[in-house]
Amino acid sequence: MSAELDMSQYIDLFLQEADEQIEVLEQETLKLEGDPSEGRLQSIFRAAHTLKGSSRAMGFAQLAELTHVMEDVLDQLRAGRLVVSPEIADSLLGCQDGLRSMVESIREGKGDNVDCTAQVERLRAFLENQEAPVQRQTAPTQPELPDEIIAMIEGDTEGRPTFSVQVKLAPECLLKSVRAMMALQRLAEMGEVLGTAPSRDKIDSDEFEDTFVVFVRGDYQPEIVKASLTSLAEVASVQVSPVKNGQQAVQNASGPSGDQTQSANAAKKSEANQTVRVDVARLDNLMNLVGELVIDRTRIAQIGNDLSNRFNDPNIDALAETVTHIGRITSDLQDQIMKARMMPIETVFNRFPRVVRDLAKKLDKDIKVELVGGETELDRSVLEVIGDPLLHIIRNSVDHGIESPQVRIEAGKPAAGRLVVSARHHENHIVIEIEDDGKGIDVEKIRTKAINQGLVTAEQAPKLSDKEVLQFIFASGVSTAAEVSEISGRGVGMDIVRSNIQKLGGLIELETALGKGTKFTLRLPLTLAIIRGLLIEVGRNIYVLPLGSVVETLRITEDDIQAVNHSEVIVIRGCTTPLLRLRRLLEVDSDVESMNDDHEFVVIVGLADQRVGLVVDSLVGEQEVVIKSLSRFCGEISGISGATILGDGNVALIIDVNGVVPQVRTESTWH
Amino acid sequence: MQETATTETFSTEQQTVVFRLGQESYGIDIFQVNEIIRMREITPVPKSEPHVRGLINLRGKTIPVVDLRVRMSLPTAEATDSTRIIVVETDNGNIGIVVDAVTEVVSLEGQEIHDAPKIVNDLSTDFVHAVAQREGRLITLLNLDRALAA
Repeated sequence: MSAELDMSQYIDLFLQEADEQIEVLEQETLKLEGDPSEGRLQSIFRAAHTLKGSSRAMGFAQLAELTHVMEDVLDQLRAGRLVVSPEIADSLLGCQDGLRSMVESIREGKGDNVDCTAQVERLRAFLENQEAPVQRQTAPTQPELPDEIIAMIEGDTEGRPTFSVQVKLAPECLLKSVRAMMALQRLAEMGEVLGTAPSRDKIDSDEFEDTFVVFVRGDYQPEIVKASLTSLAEVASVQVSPVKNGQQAVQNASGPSGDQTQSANAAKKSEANQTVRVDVARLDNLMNLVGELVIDRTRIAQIGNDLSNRFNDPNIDALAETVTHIGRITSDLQDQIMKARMMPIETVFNRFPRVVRDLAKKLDKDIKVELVGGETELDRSVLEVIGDPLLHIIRNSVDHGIESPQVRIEAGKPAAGRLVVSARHHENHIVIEIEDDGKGIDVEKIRTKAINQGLVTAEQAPKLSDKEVLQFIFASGVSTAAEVSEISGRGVGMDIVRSNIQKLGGLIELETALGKGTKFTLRLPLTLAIIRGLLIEVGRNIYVLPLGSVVETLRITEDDIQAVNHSEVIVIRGCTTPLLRLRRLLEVDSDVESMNDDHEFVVIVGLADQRVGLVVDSLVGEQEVVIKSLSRFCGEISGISGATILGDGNVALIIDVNGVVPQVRTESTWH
Repeated sequence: MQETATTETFSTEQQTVVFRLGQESYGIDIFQVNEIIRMREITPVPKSEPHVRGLINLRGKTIPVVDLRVRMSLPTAEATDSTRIIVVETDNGNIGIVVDAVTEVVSLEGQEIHDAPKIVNDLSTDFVHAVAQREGRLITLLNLDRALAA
């Protein structure tokens, strides 16, 4: 029965599952200290158990060993023989780190050879404080789990039903192996025997208590099986239950876990059955195809319009109707696929409590993290890249935002600091806020630092508003920490945070009140695949400006333009805004005449707190565009972030506002 | 090194797409050609190399288009009815090349193909792979990978 299984095809699945289970372990363990309820312990136990099962099936012995010890400790906690203490929680979290590095190592193809003896020893120490007999109590009745069965069940593509048949022999039975053989034979006559727990070898050599489980596959009728087996001599009882997958098999085999667990598990399973794992590349491909469909739809609509202008034919009206219908369907399709790519921001947020807990411990601070709006969904393309910037801001808040408990009490604040990370949808964006009730940022300190760093002259500095000064936080080399610590304070980072956010087409803002706290606000697009764009014309070509960066559009006359330092500026509501002529940036031939005689169109774009006016020939309209990358052949072109295809089938370039705005400064230094 | 490559590639019959630039005929291996399309609107890309004309929409994909006249140091010409874009496959993805006209597809025999004459001081000879003689006409066989190198 030892069918050679090609494990490589399961490894991806295994890794994915392992990631999920470790995630559950960590989340639940973190909550354990505050709420050591049985349900919570149960779900931690279940996660550890699942992980043990699958790692055994994959042949990762060390991983299985580590989860096994965790499971033992959790079992004791569950039984009330151990009490949840910060030490135990720490050790469990330590083990989870070990699990993570093992999984990483497996992912890199290096197996689970990570030394975790320290973690194992730590946990064992808790167990050794127990009286041995109590601890052994459950062990013997739990048969060795045949993990290869799980793999076999999961590998079965035909979906034939699998059952676990638990046979209990009478205690007076002498030749247990013979009885077992007979039972096995009967089962084999009715279908396929996948395996047994304990293993066949052990059953054959009588190495089992009085119960064994047989896994069978085929058209078994539970009643008939039961009747057939109980008719055998010295069989005390028979239990037949269907197995949905490997996890269920494990649960059934481990027997004394109670009805509650089983029903909870079954409920969880049926939920899981309604989802399908899809390769991300496939979703991306689907997204591309829909993008093309959207383009074609717009094109057909335009052709229809042209035709109806030229001919008078009822068929053309019918065409227009059909086009409208196709339009609705493609929009729905686009929506649905976008939704399929969406994931709750939880997956990123969930990392934070652990990080904060560890950091706070290291710094002797007491910090409570609140996560709000974890269910807010956004596209995975954005999700993948925002984790690190967010983490950086959080580290900063913990390290030098929130004060130590003594300082806080002296300042009349509660000893425990509060860190709120929240997410919500706002129009077509997601807004993420990270707010602490720490000491805030001393604007004057930043002002001095900016002068020292040569970012601003001593004469200019006092003229800058507080808001402008705070922008220096995002400049390289400026840190608010008086001392450089291991965690942060070297002044690198916030500049990277800002540039990463800007690369996504997002904005980052910052508010602070000395002694009261600091709040970072991030505004990010929901997706990177499709944007709303403002279509503008420069020269004879149409370009797209991401609407997310557009603040307003203006029509101005020559008189509105003033010169400062040989560069053009306009004053909008008291704010001096530099102007940039897109004609120059996009290298439009000067012989292409502009239609505008006495007026100009200006699009004000915003980059964080910076505002720049782009002078364009005309404003064309607003449209949703599918972003296509520039061909590798063209390389990277500053000022252009990509291309898209318009309804008329022509290609339009998308202007990279982040690439354009720095050119204002360069340009003014030219003259 | 290059000569061995030449003899190897051209030792047997080879299907070649022949196109015209000005008065001259050029050929490229048919296996490199994906399709031949009519001239269409090209969106210029600022700050790119002079021989890059811009981007076109090929069934929902944007692909760059190279003006082979510029690349071969020929004077630029207005597009006519016979102007075509040959979409070729390269290591950098699909690229379109603008040619004056696509004339024919010929099957070249090994003996018809000769090494390119060494003309010094001309950058464009770098792009020439070999020349073929056919019924008194000369077809310059291009090394596309070099001609399209950025």
